[in-house]
Amino acid sequence: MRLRQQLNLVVRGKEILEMRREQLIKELFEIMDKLKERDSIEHEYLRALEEVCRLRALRGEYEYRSITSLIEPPKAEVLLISIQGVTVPQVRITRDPDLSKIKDPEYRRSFEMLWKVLKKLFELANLEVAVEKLSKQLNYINRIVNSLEKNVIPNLKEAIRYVEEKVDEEMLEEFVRLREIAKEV
Amino acid sequence: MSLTYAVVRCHGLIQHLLRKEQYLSIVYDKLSLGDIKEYSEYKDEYSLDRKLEIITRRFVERIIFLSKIVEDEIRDFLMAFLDYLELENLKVKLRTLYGKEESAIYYPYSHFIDVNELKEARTDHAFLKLLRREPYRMRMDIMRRILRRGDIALGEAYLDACYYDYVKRVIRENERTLKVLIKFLNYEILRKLAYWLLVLGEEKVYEPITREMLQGLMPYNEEGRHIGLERAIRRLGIDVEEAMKYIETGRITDLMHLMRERELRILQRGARRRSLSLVFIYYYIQLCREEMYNLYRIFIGKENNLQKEVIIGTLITLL
Repeated sequence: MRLRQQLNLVVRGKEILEMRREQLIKELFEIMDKLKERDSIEHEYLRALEEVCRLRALRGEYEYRSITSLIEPPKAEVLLISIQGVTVPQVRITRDPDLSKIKDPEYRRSFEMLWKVLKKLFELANLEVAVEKLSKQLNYINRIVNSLEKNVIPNLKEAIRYVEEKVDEEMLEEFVRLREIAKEV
Repeated sequence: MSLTYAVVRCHGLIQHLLRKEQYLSIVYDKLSLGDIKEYSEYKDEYSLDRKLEIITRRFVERIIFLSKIVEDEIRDFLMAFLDYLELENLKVKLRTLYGKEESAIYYPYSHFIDVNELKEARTDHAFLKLLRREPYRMRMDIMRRILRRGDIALGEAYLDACYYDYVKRVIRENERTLKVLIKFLNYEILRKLAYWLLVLGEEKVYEPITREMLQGLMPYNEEGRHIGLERAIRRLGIDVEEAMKYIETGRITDLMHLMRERELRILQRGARRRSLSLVFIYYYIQLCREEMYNLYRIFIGKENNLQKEVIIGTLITLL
């Protein structure tokens, strides 16, 4: 009886894990769809960076470095959030860089453009970390489901079958013994 | 020594300046700058800062060498021309007073204000103390007001104006000898004026108070006039429609680059026409300065992995 209860519990557990696996796969596909933008974002980033480097070359290092020293750097923090019950670290920008001290419109435009793309890259990095963590969890669930499917459940079934056979044999022996006694009596 | 001697020396010295093919060879890594005798101190493995320092020192040495073989009044002008680096250092300092000192680098040049003293000046007060020195004649009340407001752009414009005031003063004091340069210096001033008109806006530049502050940004002997952006552009022979395209797309640097190129072409024509006059010396020193900027562009571009074609597009080559 206990083995049967255990088997029922394991089978139910396996079904729940399979459902969870499906949910994770669905979530992963949704994130992967968003990651398809990576190429265009990277392209945009390279363009923005080239623009800044070109400006740096044309204006000279002496001017460029002192101008960039006027920028108040951005602030970011790492938060742990839960996606489908999986803990994922995510970077959140709490303050954009302050470019207000830079009055040259071209420097401002170039830095703003670069920051805009960098923000998109942060989002992309967040998604990639989420994919990595979800994939790890998926892998873990797969291993458990496989182990339940290929190992634990067959073992339990085998144990139940063995116990059943033993019980049947004992019942048969008892029946034979009783019949023999009955004959002698 | 005589002017003719100096001009003839410049005809010789100009042969030592880098040519277009040499720039291209450096960009395409077929030639190292260290292979050129003038820059034998240079090594490819040096840091960018060290490379820029060597290039700047070479420029400074060239002008100082020339200043030793010319008459006093021309020497004053040459030194005033070189003091532009000192003014740029003042701008760097002004920015770092509101930013971070550690990321800044300074031109390795001092004349009236020691660059180390400048680096050490960490407060408005220390900075103002340095600005009091001759010959820039900066008005402390104006500079104090600018620093109090933290208006860095206006501060930079004021520094530019003070510098050109100083150069114009040098010309005024020796007008008989230097008057041939006024026309060419005015092109440079017009380019600066155009830049500040774009950054600060025409209204701000010509506000009564600012106008008085920025007198130096007006061409020589035109201090009282109102020169708008279009007029400044047109005087350099640039098509206003073409310039407007740059302005509308926010490409001020490209416009300034175009103006600088035009300015040098006009000077080149002038130097060819008056090849035995002071104009040729001015042409030579401007070429020296442009060589320094071209080398900056190449090495900064390389350091930042800019495409070779893009680097070449930033160069101004007249030889």
